[in-house]
Amino acid sequence: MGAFTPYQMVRLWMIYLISTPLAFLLGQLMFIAQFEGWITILLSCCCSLFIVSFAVKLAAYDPRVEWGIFGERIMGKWPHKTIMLLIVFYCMLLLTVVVNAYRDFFGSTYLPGTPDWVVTGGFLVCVAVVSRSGLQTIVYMADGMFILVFGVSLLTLLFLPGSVWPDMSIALVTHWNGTTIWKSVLFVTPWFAEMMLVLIMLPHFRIHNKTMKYIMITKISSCLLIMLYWLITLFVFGPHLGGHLRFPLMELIRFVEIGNIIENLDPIMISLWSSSLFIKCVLLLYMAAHLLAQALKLPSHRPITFVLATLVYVFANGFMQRPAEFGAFVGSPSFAIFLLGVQLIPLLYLIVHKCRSIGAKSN
Amino acid sequence: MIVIILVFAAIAGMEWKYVRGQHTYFKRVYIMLWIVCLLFETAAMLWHWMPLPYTVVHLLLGWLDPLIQFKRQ
Repeated sequence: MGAFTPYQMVRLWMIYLISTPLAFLLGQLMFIAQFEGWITILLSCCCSLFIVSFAVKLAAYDPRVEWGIFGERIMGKWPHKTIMLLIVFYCMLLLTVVVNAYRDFFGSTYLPGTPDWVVTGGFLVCVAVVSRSGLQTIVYMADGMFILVFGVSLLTLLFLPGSVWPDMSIALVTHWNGTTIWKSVLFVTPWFAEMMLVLIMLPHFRIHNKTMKYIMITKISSCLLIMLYWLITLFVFGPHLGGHLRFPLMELIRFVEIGNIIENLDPIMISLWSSSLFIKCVLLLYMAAHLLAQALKLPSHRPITFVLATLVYVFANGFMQRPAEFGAFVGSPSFAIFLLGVQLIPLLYLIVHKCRSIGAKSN
Repeated sequence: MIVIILVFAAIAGMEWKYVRGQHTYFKRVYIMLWIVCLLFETAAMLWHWMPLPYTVVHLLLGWLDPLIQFKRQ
């Protein structure tokens, strides 16, 4: 236990947190929140910090032991196992959504003509091989990719085109609609609160009671980067066009030209986003397999990694055949509320623990 | 597409090398999990079932969708 440094955790989760919003969700945010997007991102960051703090507090009950093991002392054996299976399902649901969005994006742009099932299958085989190798491989991989992903993401901001309409910025302070804001916060908070999964791996990091500090560093940095990209995309496309583009950031990157050396930056950005999405998928599959192994009292997650990858393939394939249902599902309130419900599970443990300690005192 | 399922099943089957050296409980759980998943996946592909996450989330919380509309008014 405690094999990795806190900043390795920060790097891993920063890559995890920016991967999906930057690649796929900016368009939906622009569609729902329009000019209120900045306040939505800020509020969602605060809400998600609150949600993650429950997970950190729960992990602090026994910092040397993983939640999958000590959780049954709080909740009881079978309720705890049921909750673990629910989180396995949650990880696989997120993985299915990410894999499907990746296939949609990568397959349509760079592999036209390649059957979807080949793109998904090939990607999932790679994901399963890495997650089978365990947390150490994932953490080192994130370490290696971090400078590239963040370096290029920040550098790209400098090269963004001069077609920005700064006059639009006045709308950021004049547009206020409470209903839109709370609905957008409900939609965006689950993106950031995914960091609740840190509960599962916290004992592997040498953090010593400063977990919240590192979580705040991770969240604030990722939120700032997402907000910068959101602002620039908004100022280039405006909320109406931006909200109707499938991958607005990709369209934005296509505007960037650096002299004659690199005609367009999009292949570089795509390879980096693919890497960050890959790390996210690997981590989700690893956590699903790890939790399932703990729930079934198996000594290793390795043999079940491919079994779970096959299930994700079948789910993704089901969505591939129904693109309209997939789009509606990912943007639906039921999906957001389901994610939020699972992310609030640590709070349930804290409440049960409090009730039990009050009961024990009164006895 | 069923080919991919068979490929995955074969790779998962290759894990048997590792599982064989483990305790009987591990072997039993692994075989059961592998068979259940394979049967479910084959059935889902053959009869074009809706993806399980979609079905579960809709059954549990689908009633919320008409109440909260994310689309801007």
